[in-house]
Amino acid sequence: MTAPPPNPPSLGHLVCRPDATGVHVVDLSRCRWIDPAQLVGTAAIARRHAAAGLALRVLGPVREAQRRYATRLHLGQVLTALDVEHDLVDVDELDRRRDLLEVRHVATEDDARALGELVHARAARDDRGAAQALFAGVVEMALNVADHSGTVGYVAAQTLPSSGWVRFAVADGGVGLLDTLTGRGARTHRQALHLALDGTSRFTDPSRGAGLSGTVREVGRRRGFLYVASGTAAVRASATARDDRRLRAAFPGTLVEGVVGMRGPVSEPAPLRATEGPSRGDRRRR
Amino acid sequence: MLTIELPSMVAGRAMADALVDALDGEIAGAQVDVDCRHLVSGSPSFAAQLVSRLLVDGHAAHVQVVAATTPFVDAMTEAAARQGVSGLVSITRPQPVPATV
Repeated sequence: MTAPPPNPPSLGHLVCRPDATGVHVVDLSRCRWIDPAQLVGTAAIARRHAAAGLALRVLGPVREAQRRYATRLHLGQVLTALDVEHDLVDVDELDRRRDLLEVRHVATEDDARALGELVHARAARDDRGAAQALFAGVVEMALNVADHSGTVGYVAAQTLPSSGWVRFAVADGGVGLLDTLTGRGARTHRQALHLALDGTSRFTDPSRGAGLSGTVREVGRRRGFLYVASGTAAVRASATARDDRRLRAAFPGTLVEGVVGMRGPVSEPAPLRATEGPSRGDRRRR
Repeated sequence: MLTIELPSMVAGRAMADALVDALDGEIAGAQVDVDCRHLVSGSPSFAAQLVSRLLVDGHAAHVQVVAATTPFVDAMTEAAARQGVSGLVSITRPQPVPATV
């Protein structure tokens, strides 16, 4: 595995803007690529709107490959279930091994464990060590949704076959880290992110709060990192460094993307009809 | 001595609670073996709750983690340190993690 890791997700397309009729719109139409973070982020925003009784429209990618990818990972189905207007139509399910995990909801600890086991089972055929890290990462981030967000979250995962990386994303449109950690001294989104990464929980019980820091450690064993975004702040955290980012538009809730290195090339998938998702040289390696 | 045999995958606080609740015997003052021979992967929150229930709330005399992989050893070690009971956890026969990238 020699390719550099994929860059953190671009969340700029997840901005909600009202159209002329006042309906909020998430516009993915100009996305050059779609990754799990954008899919679960869109689903989380849709859930937030649905819970508030607000209308939302999601415009899918214009590019055929990205459109097919978003649909194949069931974003359209999730939006339909939430009564959110969208233009993603079902596609044939071709070989989906590198998709790893289509967009699934998580609300409970049982959901989180089931999703972690599913991702592990699908990844272990290629790399048992990476599968272990994926299990710990997916389940721990999904557990955070169940424990802290006050809402339903979404999980998705994808392999990047040509570069030997796998990534997962978990997002919720809940209260966000700043609200969660205000009682522990957080005054800004950035402070809240760093407190969470340092192991601070909204609970004072020292047995709480190990999730994010433990997940950074787990993905770090496989040269990976976590990208955590909440409000207007984002941090890319590896085992040895943190890199702060500022989002131009706030993400309403919390979004985490984890990246894990695989030992070698994953099983070669069957040929697809078109270049799907980020597979052309794994476009995210900019 | 009490023994908790972990399944292949463990995650979450509720699962730790269920395994501790299923112990047949008094935890206070006991040595508890955490048998990880079948464990493939475990989450940090599970390890934290296991340490909390056995050592902090349960007042076990000692917890021995047997045949765990490096990631779970690290999770248990960190959990014990965070909760101030490092001296009450020991590791025996750790297993190597599958080859790294």
